[in-house]
Amino acid sequence: MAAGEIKILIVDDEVQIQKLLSYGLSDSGFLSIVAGSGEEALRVIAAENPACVLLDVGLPKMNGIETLKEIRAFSKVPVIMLTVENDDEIKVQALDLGADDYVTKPFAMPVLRARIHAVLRRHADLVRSPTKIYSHAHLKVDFVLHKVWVNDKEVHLTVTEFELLELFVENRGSVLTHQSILAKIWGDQAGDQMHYLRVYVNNLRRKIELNPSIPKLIITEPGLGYRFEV
Amino acid sequence: MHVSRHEGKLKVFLGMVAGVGKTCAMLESARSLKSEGRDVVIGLVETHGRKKTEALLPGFEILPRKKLLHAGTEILEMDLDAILARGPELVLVDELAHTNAPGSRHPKRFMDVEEILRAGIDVYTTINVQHFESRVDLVRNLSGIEIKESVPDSLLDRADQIELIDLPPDELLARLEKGEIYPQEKIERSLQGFFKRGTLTALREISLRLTAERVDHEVIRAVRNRDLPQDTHTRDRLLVAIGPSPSATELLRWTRNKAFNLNAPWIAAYIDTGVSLSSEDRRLLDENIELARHLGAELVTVSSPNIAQAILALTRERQVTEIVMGKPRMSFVHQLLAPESPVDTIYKEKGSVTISIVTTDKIKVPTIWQLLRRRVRSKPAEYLFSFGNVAVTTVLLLLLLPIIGYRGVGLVFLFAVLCQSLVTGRGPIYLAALLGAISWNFFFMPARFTFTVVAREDQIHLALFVAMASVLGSLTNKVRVREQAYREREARATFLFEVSKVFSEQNELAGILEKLKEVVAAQLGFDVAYYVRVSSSEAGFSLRSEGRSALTSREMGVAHWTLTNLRRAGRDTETLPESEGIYFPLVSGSEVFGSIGFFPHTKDRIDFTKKSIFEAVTRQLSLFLEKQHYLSLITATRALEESAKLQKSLFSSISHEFKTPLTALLGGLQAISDSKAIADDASLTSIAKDVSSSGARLTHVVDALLDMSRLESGTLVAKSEWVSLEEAVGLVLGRLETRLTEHDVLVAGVSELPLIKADFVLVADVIRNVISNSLQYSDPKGKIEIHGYQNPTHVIMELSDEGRGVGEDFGAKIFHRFSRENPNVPGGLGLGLSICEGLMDAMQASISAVNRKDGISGFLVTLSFPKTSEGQS
Repeated sequence: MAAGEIKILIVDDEVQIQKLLSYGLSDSGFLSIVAGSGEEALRVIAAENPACVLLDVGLPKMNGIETLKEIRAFSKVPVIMLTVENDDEIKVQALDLGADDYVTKPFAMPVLRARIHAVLRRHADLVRSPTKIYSHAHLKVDFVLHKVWVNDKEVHLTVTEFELLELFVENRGSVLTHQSILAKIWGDQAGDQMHYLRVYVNNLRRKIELNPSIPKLIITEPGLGYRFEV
Repeated sequence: MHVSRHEGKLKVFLGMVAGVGKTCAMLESARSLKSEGRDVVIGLVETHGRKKTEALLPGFEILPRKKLLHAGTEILEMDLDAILARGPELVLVDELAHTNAPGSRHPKRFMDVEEILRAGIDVYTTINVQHFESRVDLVRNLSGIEIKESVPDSLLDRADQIELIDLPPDELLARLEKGEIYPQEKIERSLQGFFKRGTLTALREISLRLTAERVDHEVIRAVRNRDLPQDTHTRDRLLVAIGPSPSATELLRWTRNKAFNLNAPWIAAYIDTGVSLSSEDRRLLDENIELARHLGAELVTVSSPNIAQAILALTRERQVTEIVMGKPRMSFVHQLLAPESPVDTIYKEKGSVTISIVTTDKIKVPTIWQLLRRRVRSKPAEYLFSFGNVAVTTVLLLLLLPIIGYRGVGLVFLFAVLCQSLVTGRGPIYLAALLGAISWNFFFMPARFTFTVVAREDQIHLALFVAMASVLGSLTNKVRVREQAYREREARATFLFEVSKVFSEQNELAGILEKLKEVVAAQLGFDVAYYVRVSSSEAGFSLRSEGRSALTSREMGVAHWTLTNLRRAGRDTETLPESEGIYFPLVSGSEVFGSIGFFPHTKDRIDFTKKSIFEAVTRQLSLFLEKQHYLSLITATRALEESAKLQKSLFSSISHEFKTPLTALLGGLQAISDSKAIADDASLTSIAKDVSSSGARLTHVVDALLDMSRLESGTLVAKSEWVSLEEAVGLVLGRLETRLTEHDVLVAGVSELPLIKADFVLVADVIRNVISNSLQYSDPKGKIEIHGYQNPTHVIMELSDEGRGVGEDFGAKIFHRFSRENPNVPGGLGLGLSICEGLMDAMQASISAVNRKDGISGFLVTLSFPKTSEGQS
C-alpha cells in the first residue's frame, strides 16, 4: 500500500462488480478493498478505517439499508449507495439514514469517481474553513461580499436565492434532498412548502445558468432533490 | 349498496274546496316548466269531465294507469311503479288525499307521493284544505260533514312551496251553477254539502289561515335561525299523553297545531300500565300511535303502573313546558265506571309546567252501557263455563246436602266462583255469582224448588253471597290479569335477553341467523325470513329464507321495497298491508345489508309492542352486520396492502438482478475501450462502442418493461406534489443531451407555466419517453419544439418533431402496447407511448398524439394536466 493512496471499501456480493470497481478506481489513485456482505463490511470498516464506502443496496441477508444503519451507529465514514433506477424510496431512505450520496446502476466510472471526490472533499471541508470565493466555469461567487458574477457580469440575487446558492456550493457534487434544503433555508416548519423551493430554484437557474431550459449547474434529482454539479 | 339521500321537491296547490281551479293551476304551472325543457309527465290528473281542465292536457306525456280488480269491478289507480321506472324530473299527481283501492302498495296516495319524492323525483300535487289531518275536526264542526280521507300535516310542512288557489265564494257558486264544476244532476246535492255560502266563507278562511300560519312559521324559523343558530327549540316542548281512547285523535291534532304555531317540538307519550288490552283497544291504540307519527310527534313509550307519575317523570326528564290532557265530560256514574283519571294528580304536582286540558265533548264519550260492556266483555266460552261450573257444583252439593246443611252450600258456591276467577274474565264471574245465588235459592233453601226465600237471614245471606262472590271474584281476577301482564313484560325482557345472548354466543352470520330464527319462533311464535346480501357484489342481494321456503315473488317484492325505501312494510303497516309478513330493512349508517321478515303463526294483529320488539331485533342484527362489514373491509385492505408490499419487493429485486450484471457488462466494456491495449486497433474500438450502445439499449428496454409491469400490476401510485414543467423539461433535455447534438431544440412558453400537481418522476418519464420517441422516428436533423400554454382549466405542453409523422392506419393504434409502425426496423419495443398513457392516467392527466397540422410534416404529442385551484406561478 503506497502512502497517500485513499482507501475505498467496495461492498457488493457480485464478484464482477467488485473487480470492475477495483479496476476502475485503481488508476485514479484509490486503493480498493472489498467486502462481500454487510457483516463483513462492518468488520472491515472497524479494522481498516476506509476513507469512503461504496455500498450496494441489494446485498443478501443483511441488506444495504440495514448495513448503513449499523455503520452509522459507530462511524461517520462517507457512504455512497449503489442503487437501481426505480428505487426512489430506497434512495430517500438511505439519504435520510445518513448516506452521503448514491449512484444508479448501470453507472459510468467517471461519474462514480466524481461522486467519490465530491463526498471526500465535503468531508474534508467540515474540518477546514469555509470557502470565501468560489469560481467554477462561468460562475463566480463571493461569499463574504455576497456577490455573484456570471461571465464576469454581476447578477443580483435576492437574500433567499443567495442562501440557496450558498447551500448548493457548500455541498457541491452531492445530492441535497428537498427536505434538507427546505429545513435549512426556511426552517423546520417548512415541511411541505415544496412549491416555494421549485419556484426559487427556477428563478435561481434563470439568473446563473447559461441556458436555463437545459440547466448545467443545478441538476434535478427526480424524486429526491437537487445536486450542484461540478 | 348505498342509499341516495337526495329527495325530490314537493309543491302543493291548495284549495278550499273542489272546483276552485287547483288542477288547472297545476297544469299551467307545469306547462311553463315543460316549455323550459324540463322533463314533466302526468302521473295522474282527474278532469272530472271539466272541459277547461281537459283543454290543458294535450302536449303532456300521460302515464297509463294501473288496472286493479276489486270486488268484481275494475278500478284505475295511479301506477306508482310506472312513474318510478319512467323517472321524470317532475310528475303531476292530482288529489293527494285519495284512498287507494285495496291491493295497492300503499293504502293512501300521499304515501305513494312520499315514495316518489324519496326516489328524487319532484312532485306537483293538489289538495283541499279539509283533508289536512289538523283541520279535519274544524271542518266537520263547521260543515257537519265527516271527512274520511286525510293527509298528515307533516307532508305540508315538508312541502317546498304551497300555492293557495283562492276564489271568492260568489264566483265559485256562479261557476257551480253554470255547470263548470259538476254535471247538472250533481249540483243539487253539492249545494247541500260544502257549497253553502257560509260554509265556503269558513273554508276559505281556514285555507287562508293555514297558508298564513305556514308563512309566519317560516319567518319565525328564519329569524330564530339567524339569532340562535343552535338553540331554536329550547323554549317550548309539548307533551300529550295518549292511550287506547278515541279522544286521543282530537288531543293529538290540538297539540300538533299548538306546537306548530310555537315552532316547538312535541312528544306523544303512551304509558303502558301493564293492564292487558282487549284486541279492540289494541287497534285503537295502534291507530292513535300511527296518527301521532303522521302528525310529526316524537313517540315515547313508558312502562309504569302509575300514569300520573310516569307523565310527571317524563316532563322533568325531557324539560317539557306544557302538558296537554283530555278530560271528557262525564256523569257521576261514568266517573265511577271509567278508569281513574290521572289529570287531577298531575294538576296537583305539575310545578311550573303549563297544563292544557282539552275538553272533548265533541268526541263520543262511551255510553254507560258501553263502559259496562267493556268491563264484562269475555269470550262466549267463558260464559258457558260459568253455567257448567254452577251446574257441576249444584249436582255435587245435592249429594253433599245431608252432610253440610243448606247454609254451608253458600260457602261451597263461593269457593267455586273464586276458583273460576282464576281462569275467566270478570263478566263470567258476575254471572257465576248470580247463577250460584239462584241455584242456592232454588235447589237448597227452604221452600225448595221455588224462588221464594222464607227466612229473613237467608235473604241477607243471598245478598251477601252475591256481593262477596262478585267482589272477591273480580279482585282475584284483577290480580290474575296484572300477573298476566307482568308475565308478558317479563317474557318480552326474556326474549330480548335471549336475542342478545345469540349475538354474544355466535360469531358466524349463518349461526346467528339460524339461532335468531329459533328464538323468535319459540318465544314469539313468528317465522323469520332473511333477505340478505350474501355475496359482496354491489347489487348482489339474494334471499336466504330458512323456515319459510316458499316465499312468493310478491313477498320478495315487499322485502325488496323495504330495502330501497328503508322503511318497514308488509302486514299491519301502511305499505302493502295485505302481505303475509312484516318486513324491516337491515340498515346501519349509509350501508344497507338486506331485510328481515316476520311471519305470524296466527291471524292476530301485529301490534306496536310486537313491532317495537321486531325493531329491536332488526337494530341488533343491523349492528352486527355493520360490524362484520367493516371487519371484512379491513381484512380486504390488509390483503391489498400485503400484496402491494410483495409486488414492491419483487420489483426491486428484479430490477436489481437486471441492473447489476448490466453494470458489470457496461463498466467492463468501458474499461476495455479505455484501455491502451486496444486504443490502436480501430476495428476493436468500434466493436466495443457498438457493444456499449447495445448495452444502453438493453438498459432502456429493461426500464420500459419494468415500468409497464408496474403499471399493469396497479401498484403504481402517483404522488401529488408541486411540479414545475420547466424543471422537468430541463432535466430531460439535460439527460438526453448527448443524443440531441444533431437536433435543434426550441423551448417556448414553458417557463411561464404555473406549477401543477403531479408526480415529478412520472412527468419527467413521460417527457423523456416522448422525446426519445421523436429522436428515434423523426428526421435525424429535424427540429424539436416544446410549447407550453394554458387555458382556464388545463396546463398544456405540446411536443412536436419534424419527420414523416405517422401513417393514417397506425394513428389509432399508437398507444397500444408493443405496437410499432414498422416492426422490422430494429430498436424499441413499442412500449414508450403506451407507458406514457398509463403514467398520465395515473396522474389524472391526458396525452394525445397526432400528425402535425401546422403545415410542417411531423408528429405532435400533447400533454394536458388539470389545473389546481391553488396553482401558483
